[in-house]
Order: sequence, then C-alpha cells, then structure tokens
Amino acid sequence: MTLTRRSILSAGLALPVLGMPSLALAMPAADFAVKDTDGKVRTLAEFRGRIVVLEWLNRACPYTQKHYHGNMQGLQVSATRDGAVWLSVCSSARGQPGYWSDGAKARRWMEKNGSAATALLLDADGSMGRAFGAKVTPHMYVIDKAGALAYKGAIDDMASSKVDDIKRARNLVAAALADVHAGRPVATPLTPAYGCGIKYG
Amino acid sequence: MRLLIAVLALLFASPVMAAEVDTGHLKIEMVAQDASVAPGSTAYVALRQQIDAGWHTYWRNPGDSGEATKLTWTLPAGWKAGDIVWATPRTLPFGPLTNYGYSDAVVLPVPIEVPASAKPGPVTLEAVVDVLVCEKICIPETGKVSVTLTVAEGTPSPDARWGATVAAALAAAPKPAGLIATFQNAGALTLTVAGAPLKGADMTGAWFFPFLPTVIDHAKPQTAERGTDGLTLTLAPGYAFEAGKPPAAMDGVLVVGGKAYEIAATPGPAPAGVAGLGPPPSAAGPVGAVPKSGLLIAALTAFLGGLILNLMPCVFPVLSMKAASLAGHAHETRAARRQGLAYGAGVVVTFLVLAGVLIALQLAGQQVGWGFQLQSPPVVGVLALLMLAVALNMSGVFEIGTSLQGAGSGLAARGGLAGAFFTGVLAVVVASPCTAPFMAGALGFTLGQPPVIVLAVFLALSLGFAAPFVALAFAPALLRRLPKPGAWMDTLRKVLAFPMYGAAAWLVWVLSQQTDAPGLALALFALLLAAFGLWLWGLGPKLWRQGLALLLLLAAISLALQPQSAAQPAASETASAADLPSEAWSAERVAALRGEGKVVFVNFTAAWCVSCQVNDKVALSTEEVAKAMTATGAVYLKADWTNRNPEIAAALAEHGRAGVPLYLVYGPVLDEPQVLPQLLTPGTVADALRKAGKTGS
Repeated sequence: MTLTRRSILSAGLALPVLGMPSLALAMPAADFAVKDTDGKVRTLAEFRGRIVVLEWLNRACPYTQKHYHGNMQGLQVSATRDGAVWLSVCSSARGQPGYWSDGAKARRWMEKNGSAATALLLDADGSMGRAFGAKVTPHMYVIDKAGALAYKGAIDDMASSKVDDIKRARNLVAAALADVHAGRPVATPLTPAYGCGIKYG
Repeated sequence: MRLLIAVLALLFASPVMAAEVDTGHLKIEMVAQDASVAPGSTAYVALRQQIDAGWHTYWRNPGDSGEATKLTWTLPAGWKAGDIVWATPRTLPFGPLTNYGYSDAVVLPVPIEVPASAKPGPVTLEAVVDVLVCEKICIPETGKVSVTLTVAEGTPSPDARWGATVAAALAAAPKPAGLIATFQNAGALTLTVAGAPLKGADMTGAWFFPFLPTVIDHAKPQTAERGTDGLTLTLAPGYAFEAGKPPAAMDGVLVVGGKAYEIAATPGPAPAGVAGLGPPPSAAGPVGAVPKSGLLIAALTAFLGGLILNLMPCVFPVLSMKAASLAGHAHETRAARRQGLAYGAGVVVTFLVLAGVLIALQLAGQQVGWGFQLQSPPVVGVLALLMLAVALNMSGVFEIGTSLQGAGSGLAARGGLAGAFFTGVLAVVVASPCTAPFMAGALGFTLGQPPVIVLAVFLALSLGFAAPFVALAFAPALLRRLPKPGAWMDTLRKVLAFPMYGAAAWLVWVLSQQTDAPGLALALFALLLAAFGLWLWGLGPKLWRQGLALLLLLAAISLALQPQSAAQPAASETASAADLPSEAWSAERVAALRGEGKVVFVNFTAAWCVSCQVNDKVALSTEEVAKAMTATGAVYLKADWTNRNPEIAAALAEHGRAGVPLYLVYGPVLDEPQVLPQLLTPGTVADALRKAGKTGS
C-alpha cells in the first residue's frame, strides 16, 4: 500500500520533470478499495468508463455544513443526472470528529441531509485520503472516464464558512465537470482547497 | 476654541474605549496604539486574540486547511482601514497536514488612515471579526468589536493600556530587510536568501512561510544550509509547480534565528555565499528541550552505559582477544598497566573519531545514528575480513613481526602496546551496533546538540567502556591469581580464536541482509583470498611469498568493498523472525492502525544489532509473546534499519534515540506509546501488550 501511494504521489511530481504536456493532472487516479455505508467494498475500477466525483466530507466541519445547505446536494443531483458517479468519502479516524462507528449511522446522516451521492465511503484508516492527498473537507476530485484525475481542489473560489458566500462564488467542480463532459482539458485543474483539515488518526 | 479641543482631548484621551468579546473559544478585543490621533495621519489599532488552550487561529496563509481571520470594518466617512499586519506565525502540524497560525495569544495591528478632514472629538471604529478557531474540530466564530479614538491636532498621545503592546507587535512583525531572494526548481525546489542581516547571523530554526498556499508542500520538512552571506532552504514544491508554468514569485516570511523577515523571491540562480557551511544547529526540539543539567545526567548515564556495554553480546568476541592479551601480562605489573592504558586510549580515541564522523554526517544533513557505520556493506565486508585476520592470527596461522600479543621484553612490549591499542579500536567498532541500557537515553540526548556536547557524552561513554579492563590492569592482586605464563596461554589463545571466527561469520550474515547474492559471493571470495594470503605470509619470511600475500590481501580488500546495498536483500525477512508474522513499519501504517484502535507493537531493529537479535530469540519468538499478540489482536510492525533509512532514523530521533533496538507498544488506552526496555523478556512484552489492549468497552 505504501509503495503504491508513493508511486502515485511521485508520478504527479515526475510528470513536469519528464516534460510531458502541461495538462496538469494527466495522471491516473489512485485506485482504492473502501467499504461504503452498506459494508460493500467499492473500487475505482468498478466505475471505469464513467466520470467519478470524489467529495471528502466531515459532518462536524463547518465548511462541509456550509455546502450541505443545498449547494452540495444540488451538485450531486446534477452530476449524477448527467451520468457521473458521486462518492462522498469520510476519512475521519476512529475517535476523531466526524467518525461514524457504523454504516447505518452514516446512512441516516445521508438521508437526513438529502445527500444524492452514489455512495458514502468510510475510510477510517485514511488510506484512500492519503493516497489521493486529500487535505481538507470539502476536498473535491473529478476523475474522467479514462480514470485520469481531471480536477483536484476546492469546491468554489470563496474560501469561507458562510453560506451567503456560495451565491457569489464560482463553483469550480461544476466548471470542471462541464469541461470533462465537453471533452476539453479542465481550465483550472488544480486549486487550493479550503476547509477543515481531514482528521486522520 | 483651541482650549475646548484640548480639554475634550484630555477627557477622551484615556482610557480608549474598548471591550473584550468572548466568541466561544477565544476572546477578541480591538485596541489602539494611540489614544488621540491627528487628522491626516496613519494610526494603528490592533485586534487582540486570546485563544483557549489547545485551540489555534490562522495566519494569512492558513496552510493545508483552515482560514485566516477576516475583518469587515464599519468606518466613518473618509476613514480607511488597511490590511492586517500579520504577526509571525508558527507551524501547527496535524497528522499529515501542516497549518500556519497562532495559539495562546496574538496581536494583529491594522493601519487606519485618519482623513485630513476629521473633526476633533471621539470617533468609534467598528469591525466584524470572522475567525476560524480550531482544536480537533473547527468552529467559525464571529464577534463585533469596536474602539473609540479621539481626533486631536498635534502629537498623538499613546494609549496608556495598549500603546506599548501594539508598538511591540508592529516592531516584531516581519518586514522587508533588503534581502535578495531567488528560487529554482531543478530537481528540488531551493529558495536562497542573502543580505546584510543574514551575514554571519544565527540561522537556527530557519523556516519559510509562503504567502500563497500553492507554492510549497507545507507538511514537508524544510532543510537549511548556511552560507557566509545567507542561506539555502530546500523545500518540497507545491502544485503551483506541477501545472507546467512555475510561479513568477514566491513571497513570504523567512524565520531565522528567532527573527522574521518578509522576502519576495523571484526565479533565478542562487547568489554567492548562501551555502557551503552545513545546516544550522537544530533548534530546541523535543530532545533538545532537555535542561542544562541534562548534560551531566547524560554523561553519567553514558558512563554507566559504557560499563554495561562490556556485558553485551556483541563485545564478547573482542573481549576474548583482550582476555588473551591480559593473561600474557598478568605477572608483569608495569607491562600490564601500560597495556591497559593503551587499550583504554584505543577505546577513547575510536569513540571520539566515531563521534566526529557522526557529527560531520549530521551536519551534512544526513540522517544517521549509532551503529551507522555498519549500515554500509563495504564497511561490514572489510570488518569481516579484519575479524577473520585476527582469528587466523590467534589460531597461529601467521604472526605479524612480533605478535599482537607480544610478551614482555622491550621491543615486544612496544608491539604489544600497539596491539592493545588496536584491540581497543576493534572493541569499539564491534561494540557499536549494540546499545546497552542507559546508553540509549544518553545518545538520544546528543541528537541535535552542539558538537562539544556530543563529544562530551561520547567521552563519558568511552571511559565507561574502557574502565573495567583498565582497572583490571591496575589491580595486580587480581592479576596474580592467574596461573604463571606457559603453554596454557597458547592453548587459551587458540580457543579464543573461535569467538573471532564467530564474529566474522556474524558480519557475513549481516552482509547477507544488506546485499544480494552476487554481493555476498564477492565477500565470501574475499575472505577466502585473505585466508590464503595470510597462510602464505605465515609460511615464513620469503620475499616472493610475502609479496604475493600482500597482493592477495589487497585483492581481498578491494573485493570486500564491492557489495552494495541491494533494494531486495538476498535473505528473506523470514530468516530473522520466522515465528511472528510482521508487517513493514511506516509512520502512516502506525497511524492507520492506531486509528482502528489496534494494539501495535513496533520493533526497531537491524541485522547488525546483536541485542536486537538476542531479543528476537529470547523474547519475541516465544510462545508467551505470540499468545499475547493473538489475545490482544496486536499488529507487529518491524522497522528494519539494517540499511540506511532516513524515515526510521527520524522516528528513532522522535523517541529520543540514536540507534536500535527500540520497542514501542501503542494501544487504544495509551496516549503515548510505551517504550519497552532494551533487554526484553517474554513477560515484559506480554504484559505491555495486555495493558495496551485493555479497553474500557
């Protein structure tokens, strides 16, 4: 696991050095095998041929809460309607804020909040989060149909915890999804994500 | 009118009206530098944050997560508030993330432009403060603060309560200081800074805090190298460098030697004088935080550790050499004393040389620790040769001029002195992979300490190590108990040759863990050549034979230097501990397992560490430990330091250790890992596992 993680991370650093075209994120996304709220192991390979959106969340984080006033759910609905797979990921370690001790509790949270995600993955050992270099909640990733990372970063360009700021912000994930659907390289493929640090153990 | 204004000014001048607001996890307050301010001037107010213990707020660039404090002002017409003058932040590591911010308390000044048209009299400045405050969880808190100033002509009068505080915050805030800064991303991202303030300056704790979150990887270490006029920092590039077009600037704050400067770095080559002097001494870390009296304790424990080191398994073969030599001199008091002293000198000199090399390597930024020389296959190979040569000599295969164990007479005594010195050297070299109880703490203490302290601790260690034999040489009563010299001595010497063969065999085994099969074959062939050469030499003084013997020895040495560290050593992991299933250690794995609430046993070991092998056999491979592991569901992680590995060296340093063995037990009920003693028994390990696994639920 450590080895694959390293090679993924170093692949990202090696590309510009090797003089590859500057399509910033032309690197394969890390595969993963993480259980969802039903205890079913989900992998990236399972969704080959579909666009995949990853959303790191922490229900105790005010930045996750900010976007769950409708913004995140709306994005989930429109992305999945367009054929994409939406995976929410919780990498909070046991005993840390946002950790779910069982899948049923996590499922109840999804229902209560009207989440339209395809699945919520419980990555309590943080292996998936670390493999992707996820740092904050929310940290957003868009993976194209070929399994390459197309976008990594913030959900929008207004780094704040205020719901009011959403309407003034530009949604970077929606923009990335539009680019990927249109077969264009993503205009802004990498942005600094903002939010709470992921509570790895 | 003038008089009226003056009276008004006095009335309002002190104290400035301000009030503290408790937003939940911090108290905020807006204070002023000056109680009265003049129209058309720039005045400073400041946001004071008093942060609850364990919580923190963020710098302008919060790092990997978080959000900077924001101020939204409500000001009278014509008044303007500038940007926050950010105080120097601290790094706030959190798991794999690093943030920049403040804990306890911080004062953040803000310039206020007083309009020229401002009417004399009181003015209230109001601001809504949005501040993200985090411990494990983050809470965005909001508070409305205000400060009332008095506009009055003339020299401003400082605020009695806060004037000095705000002035101090302004003075301490990082400012540009004419430093020239450049950066290059060729293989590694280097930031070079030079200028008058850095010339010959204290450069401890050098750290770069970038204004933009994207230019560096905040969580990665920053390594500094000093030069005469400045310094070079090697940074991990952030993804701004991944996107093909590197950033055009890298601005931020450089903290160095307790001072902070604002720098604006542009792409370009490094100026002269920013490297070449090695890294700065490390700032007080968890280990360096040992108080001054720590040195005395470290020296004492080092001495004690040195004494006990004589009893550790790795030193036995060499002590057998010493015993053989001592037996030969037992009845000549003067010779015995001189031999004892020569041995002591050999020990002390070698320890100090090792310390010197260690210091030099550490200054060069290498992650090395105790026993580091045995992490190099060529060194192990040559040592195996040396052990074989000594063994063959003791077996009587050859003699060097006068024997290493030269007996008594004038010339021979001198040869004997060199021999005794050499025995001391060898004892230390072979002993170095062992750490004895007490030693680990003392050596750990020296990590990151100035060279003088490292030398002092090593000196104490060497004196302790040499003490028993030197003392024995000065105790004629004891020595006289030994039988008179005679044929038994030759027999003893030949018997004691076998531990030396054993030492050679052990070193070959160490080599087998470090190199691949061809490398091992080279070393074995070198041993064969050396044995043949030494036998030839032993046949007698014929020039051609001795010449050939020397050639063979040179060939053997050059062969022994060949084996290189192999990524996949020939010997499999199962060779050393077949009995317990283990996984490779990584800091991440430990974190992940702890997250799952598992009991984790970590064994920091190395093939060349004899104590480690003994512990493996005596304690870790026993059924008692295996049962305790199963019962507690413990996961066994092994950190193999046989070859150099900076991550393991860093982990050892984190626990105040400079070498192996180190045994740690993590458990759901333990906040900190329990450190087990260096000599294990099955009972200690099993107990520790059970205690760590005892969960309330």
